[in-house]
Amino acid sequence: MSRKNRAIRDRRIRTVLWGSLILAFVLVELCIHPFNWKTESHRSPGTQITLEAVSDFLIVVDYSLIEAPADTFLEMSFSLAWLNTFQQEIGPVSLMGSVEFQEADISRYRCIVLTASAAQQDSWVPKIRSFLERGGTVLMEMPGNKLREIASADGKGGVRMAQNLTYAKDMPPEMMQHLSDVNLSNMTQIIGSAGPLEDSQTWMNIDGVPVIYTKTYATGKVITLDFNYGMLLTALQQGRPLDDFTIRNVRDSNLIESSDLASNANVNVPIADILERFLIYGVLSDAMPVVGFWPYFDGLDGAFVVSHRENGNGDAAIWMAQYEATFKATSTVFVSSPLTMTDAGLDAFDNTHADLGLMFELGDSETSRSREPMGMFKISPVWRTLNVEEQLETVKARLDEKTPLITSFSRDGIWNSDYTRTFQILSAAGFRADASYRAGLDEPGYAFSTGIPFMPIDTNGLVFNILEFPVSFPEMQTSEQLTVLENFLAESEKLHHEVIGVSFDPNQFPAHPRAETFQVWQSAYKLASQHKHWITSILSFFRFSRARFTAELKTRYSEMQMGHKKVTVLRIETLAPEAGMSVTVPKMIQERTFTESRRGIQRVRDDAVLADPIAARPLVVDGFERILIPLSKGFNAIDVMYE
Amino acid sequence: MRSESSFTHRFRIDLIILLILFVIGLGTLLHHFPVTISSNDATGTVLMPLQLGQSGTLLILPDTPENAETFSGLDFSFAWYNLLTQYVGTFGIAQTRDIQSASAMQAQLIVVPQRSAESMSESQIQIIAQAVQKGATLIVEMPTPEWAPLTAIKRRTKVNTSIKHFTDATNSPLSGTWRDHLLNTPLDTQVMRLDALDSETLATDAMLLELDGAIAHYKRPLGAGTVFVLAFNLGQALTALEQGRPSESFAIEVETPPKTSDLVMNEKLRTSTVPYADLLKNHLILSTLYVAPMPIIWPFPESGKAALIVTHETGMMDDQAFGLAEYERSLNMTSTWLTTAGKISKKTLDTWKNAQFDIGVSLLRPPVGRIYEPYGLPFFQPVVVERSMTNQMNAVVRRLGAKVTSCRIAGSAWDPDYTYSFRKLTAAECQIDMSYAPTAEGEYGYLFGSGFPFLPIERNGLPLPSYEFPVLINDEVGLESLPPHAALKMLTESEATWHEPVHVLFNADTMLQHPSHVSPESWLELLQYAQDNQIWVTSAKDFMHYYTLRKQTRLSYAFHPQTKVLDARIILPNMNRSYTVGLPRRTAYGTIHDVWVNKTAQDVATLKTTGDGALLLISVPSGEHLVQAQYQ
Repeated sequence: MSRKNRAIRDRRIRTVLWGSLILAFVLVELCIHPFNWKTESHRSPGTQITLEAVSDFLIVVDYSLIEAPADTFLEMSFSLAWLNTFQQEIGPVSLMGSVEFQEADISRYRCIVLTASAAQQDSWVPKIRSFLERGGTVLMEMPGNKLREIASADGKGGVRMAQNLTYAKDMPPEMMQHLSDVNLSNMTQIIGSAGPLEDSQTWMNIDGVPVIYTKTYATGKVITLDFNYGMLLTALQQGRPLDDFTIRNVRDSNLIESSDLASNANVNVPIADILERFLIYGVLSDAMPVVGFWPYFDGLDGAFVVSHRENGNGDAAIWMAQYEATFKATSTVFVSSPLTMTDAGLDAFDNTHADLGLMFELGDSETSRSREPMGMFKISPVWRTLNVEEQLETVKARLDEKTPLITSFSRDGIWNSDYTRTFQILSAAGFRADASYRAGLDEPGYAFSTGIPFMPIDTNGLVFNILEFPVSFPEMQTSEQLTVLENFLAESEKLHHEVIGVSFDPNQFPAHPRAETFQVWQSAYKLASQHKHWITSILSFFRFSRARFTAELKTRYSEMQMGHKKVTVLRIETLAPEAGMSVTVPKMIQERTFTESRRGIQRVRDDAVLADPIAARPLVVDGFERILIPLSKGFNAIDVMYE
Repeated sequence: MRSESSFTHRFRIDLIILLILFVIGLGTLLHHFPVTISSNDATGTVLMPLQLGQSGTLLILPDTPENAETFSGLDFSFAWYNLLTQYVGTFGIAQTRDIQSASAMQAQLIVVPQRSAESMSESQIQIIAQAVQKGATLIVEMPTPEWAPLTAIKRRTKVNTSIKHFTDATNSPLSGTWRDHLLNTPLDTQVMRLDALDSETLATDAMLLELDGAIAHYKRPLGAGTVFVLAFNLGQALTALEQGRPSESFAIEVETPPKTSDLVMNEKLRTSTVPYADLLKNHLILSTLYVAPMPIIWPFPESGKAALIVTHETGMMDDQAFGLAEYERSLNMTSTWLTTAGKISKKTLDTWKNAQFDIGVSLLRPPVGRIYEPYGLPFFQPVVVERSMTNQMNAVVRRLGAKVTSCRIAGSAWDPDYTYSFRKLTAAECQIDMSYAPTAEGEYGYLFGSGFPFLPIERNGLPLPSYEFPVLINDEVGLESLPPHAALKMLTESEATWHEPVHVLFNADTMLQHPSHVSPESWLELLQYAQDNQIWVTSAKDFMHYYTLRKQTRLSYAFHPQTKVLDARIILPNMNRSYTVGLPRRTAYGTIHDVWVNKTAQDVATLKTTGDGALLLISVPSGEHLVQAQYQ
């Protein structure tokens, strides 16, 4: 062999030798630090809904104005935010599009809400006037054109951005202070007028402009909201993104978290709920007696919604749920994909009656648990991150078909930088409840101005069929946090009647065994019980809420003579699909005060009644006095007497 | 030319690089998968305990130790040593060869275990008899016919091992519940079949205990003194309960790797909330005190009626494990922390040592686990050597910079030989072992008949110098498998009734292994109860310090039957806590009426008493004290 040929052969050998060695090294390196391949999740935008409820209330929206995708937050339609207010405070409510409303018989309703999208229809004026003449109540949000002429101010000041709330009729000073402290810039718009409307009752001013006022029309009442109530409510509850719908990172970290959306500076007060209750129990209740389903089981004063994070610890994560089962409480345990619980662990979990949710991962970091290797013979240079649907399916595959898995939670509260993209992903995966909205770890409280779950709105103005449960206490560990929680529970018991979302990490105490952590955890339940809060899971609360939304509730009231007394009788007819439901009624109707409530009244004489009295109890909801009346499961006919 | 054209020549650079890469690769592999060298545990030897205190109580031990071939053939004399340590506190010991007239005459309570009784000559027995005639009290176990002048048993009776139950305790000083439980005491011992005494009829109140209708324990007046005869081997009964019962060949015969709980004598002890061994001891001592009142040094300081001994094992956790200690410190309590060698930093060890916590060692040995010590450079450690028990103890001692006395074999793993593990613990210089503990689901309580520590007996009858401090509650077994609030009930019953140290083991990593809210809940409620009821919560080391310091007490006393006055002079060793002196309340001479400490009258009505009312508890500080009691 010539020297040249040998050199060529040697070069080839070297190339193969060192090439193989480098290849082996690269493979080993890749196995240690593999590439991540992210799979995009499917997305499903917000959808139109129509609700046909047996209710006194009808919300009207104009889908033709809503569905056009908005370019900026201010251009979004927020009409469907009204659904949150009515479902949270009353329960069943009908929702109609403008096309259906045109043809609908509205005589069976006692109150019609014309949202901003629907309050511009001149052709509806006769129908609305006719409704008012029959004694109905119409609530109009930023009405325009001829609807405005019915009983609203002139609106000549035009639309402008709001600054601060300056007046709210009869609101306790402390709460008024909280509301006026809210910076309304970029959160809502108001309509200015040349002057206040004559013979109207002003309820609220923003920047000195009357924005909620009532005027009698014929025998009915018109309530005008000259500000974008839906926008304000959405900005408070769902958060306020930048105008282009991106979320500003306020924590100096690489990833966006749901807490970056929080816009409530005063986390101690549920501003959004105060506003809603002012509108429903103050303004609306003054125009007509408002009866609503109480949101909490057994007439308790609030709910303590507990969740735990499994964090890949498998069976070791269920001990907290086992403790809760000892006093018949439940919670939600968020498990990650792949599910590391054993079959025995799942059986033990079933016995706790807690429910499972998915702790999904949006990121594609190396710390992600929801990944699968790609390769062969244990050589996996690439790992594929499962998308949310795949994560869900992986967990579902381990569960039996009857186990519902419709609750989600974002690991570490990580959120997509787009305002509603995460909701779109969750909606496509079929989740019905989510608990990813959480307060900052160092500042627990009502970061989203509420603790009560709400339906988020997509940028196209339509809603996601998801209830978002804000978590007010995302990490309960210290005595200081417990003190804060106790204050929240006390306030909730006597005033706010809130859902307080709390999350515990079952691995915290085992990994860092400090007595304080354990004592804080156990004390939290004791405090919740002491303050008469329903200790429950997300799924249980979700089911109870759904029962409220789908229940039937109709009322009528009349004056009657009983002996030599004139009384007002509020007749409630309701179908309660679940046990433990109750309704609240006003403590006063006009000048008359609640005296008693009776089930299935049969009048045998003018001045005597024979029926079951119902043990009602008074309560105060954000300053408004109400009476709580428990219901039996099934049909209830109740007469509530006011003298 | 040929060499230049060879493969190795042409590729020499490549081969050198390959060789270097191979060496680096091999080194890396060895660093991550080092060569393992196993090691064996050394064994220690027995020691005759030193005479520390001075007292009118004398325990006579046999002269020469003999290795036993069977468990029944074991010399159980040292069970009496444990008994007297626990119930009397201070006493003297003598070997049979030391029995001379002068020494015996000074003793007011003479205890002669079976093996000593068998080996004593007639002249020695005569010396004892003279002492009794002059007023001493004698307790003699399974006496031979040579003891007939004292016991009235002339014939050599048949020894039976099949009798297992007490049938009557009519004259026992124990009352009510205590007596009922005494009759249920599981027994494994040798019994003299004694139906009647040869020379006389027993007085109506003389028979104290009956075994299957036969006399088991009786008293007999002799001159100015009294003789208590035990017709069964109490030492064996106590050893079988406390140290456990192996097979006759000293083996623990189980199919799985043995654990300490495999030594439990009787199945009902696995969930026993009654300290049967201590009931038996209580019966014996109170019977004696009834006729011969004397002060005792109570095993709990400051008139306490129980103690909570808290031990934690760090297991596989690092410094985080000590989170539990923070809470104990906040309550001014201490505990024992058994650390795994090499897992806890020096800083943490120093912190808790300085806070007066007892730092011990959790010994990890097969089959539960192994710990290895790497050898080599920091970046290249190709060899690891298995750490023996001694090595593990030394590793913690080195890091702590102080002596370590407490230990436990992780998982209560035990050698198949009855005493082999104790020998290894002795070699490792572990002075307080806590391996005797519940190990299986559902087990808790007095598995070993007592909550008090004891010196284990070696095959030659001598004690191994490593106290065994049994654990009553071990959260490793899963406390959810126990009755609700089992640990708390153990403590409350101990305080009210049994007066035992309640030794609990809460492992720092239990919540990682099998988490349950019951474990931390039990720990917290125990501490809370102890704090609310002023129960001493301490470490095993601190408890043992008090417990053994009592042995250094110098106690001289005299009871005057005519005046019914008990005079005692007590010199208590230095300690930062007060001692507790116990005086019998009910005696044959009446009930205690007045008490003086250093000539100061005490309000008897306000002084604490034991749950059964048998003893009056008086708190006295270190130093010399005169204690007087008037009975009427």
